[in-house]
Amino acid sequence: MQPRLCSSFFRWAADSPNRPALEVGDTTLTYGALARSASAIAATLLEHAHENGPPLTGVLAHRSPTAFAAILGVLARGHGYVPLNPAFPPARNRAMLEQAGCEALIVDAGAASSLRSLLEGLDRELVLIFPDQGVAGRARDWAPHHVVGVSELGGEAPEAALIEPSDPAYLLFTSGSTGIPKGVAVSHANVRAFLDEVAERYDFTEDDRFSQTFNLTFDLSVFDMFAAWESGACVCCPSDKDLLNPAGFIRRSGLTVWFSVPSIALFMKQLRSLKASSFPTLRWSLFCGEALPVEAARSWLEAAPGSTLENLYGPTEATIACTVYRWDPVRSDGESELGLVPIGHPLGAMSTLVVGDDLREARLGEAGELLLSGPQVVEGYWNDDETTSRAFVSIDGRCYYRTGDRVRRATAGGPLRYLGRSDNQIKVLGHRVELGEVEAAIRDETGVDAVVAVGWPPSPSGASGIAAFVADERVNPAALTAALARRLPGYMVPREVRLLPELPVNANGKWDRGALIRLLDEG
Amino acid sequence: MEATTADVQRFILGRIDDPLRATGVAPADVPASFDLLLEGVIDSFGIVELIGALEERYGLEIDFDELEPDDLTRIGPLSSYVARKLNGR
Repeated sequence: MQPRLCSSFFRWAADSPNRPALEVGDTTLTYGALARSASAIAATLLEHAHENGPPLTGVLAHRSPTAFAAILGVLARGHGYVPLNPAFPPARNRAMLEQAGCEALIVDAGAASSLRSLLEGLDRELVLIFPDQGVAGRARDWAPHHVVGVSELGGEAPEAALIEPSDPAYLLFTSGSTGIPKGVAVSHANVRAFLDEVAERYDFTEDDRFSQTFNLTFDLSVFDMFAAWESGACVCCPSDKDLLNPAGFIRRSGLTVWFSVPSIALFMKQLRSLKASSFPTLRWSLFCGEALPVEAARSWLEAAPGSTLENLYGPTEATIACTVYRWDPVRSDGESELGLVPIGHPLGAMSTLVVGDDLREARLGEAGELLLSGPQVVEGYWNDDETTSRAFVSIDGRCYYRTGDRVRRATAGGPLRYLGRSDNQIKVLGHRVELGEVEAAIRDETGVDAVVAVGWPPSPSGASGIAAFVADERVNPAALTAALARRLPGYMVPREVRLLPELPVNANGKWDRGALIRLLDEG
Repeated sequence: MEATTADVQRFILGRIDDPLRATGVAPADVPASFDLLLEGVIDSFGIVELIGALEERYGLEIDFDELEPDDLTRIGPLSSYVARKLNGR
């Protein structure tokens, strides 16, 4: 039996209950206190368990002590957690909850106001757990759902639930090109393989203080929490305000481990907050989630010269990160391509294969699509055999995940270099977006077929937003944007909608995205 | 260049007129404590644009470390910071 994702956390809680585990705003929770909250949630979940559906429980919460206690509680109860972002449109959260088949949902106080519209028209009755609110006298308000408030929480810590390595630790949803988000269930075995490599690679200790910049619906947040709690370290959450001044947050919190999308480094560079040696406490500067521009890496290291900078790479389907590149002030300039830091070498037992369109291996130094194989690769998409069969292929008896990322195959001993996407997936400030999903939503709202979305404006690491073109001049752009904001997360809503009598096509008869981007360039 | 807090605040309000009206607030009704971020008027991307615009308009460099985190996105404190910086040099 492999240890569960939360095992180390509870071991630290038993051995060193007074060590700090989590900082949110002015609140510090010790391992002991967080473990008590998590155990109460786990006991409550078990008390109200139906055991009919899949072993998954939803968490509707955002960077609150309750959000983290809920994740640990769900894991302790033997379920995988399904994080839902209270800032996402209710319809999107509802669809995720239904696709996951959850029977219970844990809600923090900050998310309670968005719950009502999430539940509208939901296809099932839920057990709603409010660990930081009372529900006395309000049970009827939530009918037909069953509610449990803070005073009804279970007390006794349950026995460690038995789980199999193949059981889901978490289920996340990524943007889907057909318009429907795809579920990715990551097993305990998948995430254990990653965390064991992390333990081997980094010298994290209980004195480390980790940043928590990633939203809980983004798998990189699993690193924030569990790389820290495996080591007995403390997770430090910035407030939304802190994220506007991350430099102040790093200094105030005395962070030793920084992990974020490169967009935050670029943002700080733009605001001139990467001042020389301004982050003396940082030991590790880690970036992941989108291409890392060389200029961002260099500027960051000026601010944190005492830290080691690494660029990690990995899609959700291969669990958090599966290749890594360590920046070297002498060597790295020469190894970079297109102004981007290489993505390096496979972690641990992961292996990479660079292939051409025919799925045959590319020659040394040639560009092709990156395929991933190994213990971190998930079995497929949640309840979606068709999409799974397109993205997961068998080559010489090994199962590979097709990333859709274009890379240059390493020459003898050299690193893999990221070159871009082979399809219409982009990164908007680190968020993975299938432009097809945005286009499908626009087609649905307008009834117009000729619709193209592009990443705009471009940023050194991807795009800062999205612009859309619709071939119908009668569409009202403001009304369209408002309608899209009700169904898509903010980063997927176009910042600009342009109406054209018709859209340009290229020689292959496809929409000419390049010509449309030039139109935007012209202003 | 010289400018009063009220001048700077007018400049900021002019920049955010559309999103401000979309939230149903008239520019004249915006109190000094109005938080551009929390009220949903701008996001972090908008902050970068706004800071850039302020720096260009008034020819100064805004240093986030000189502002309390809470004051960064509040229209009154942000405006008076810019005015103070302008008049103090």
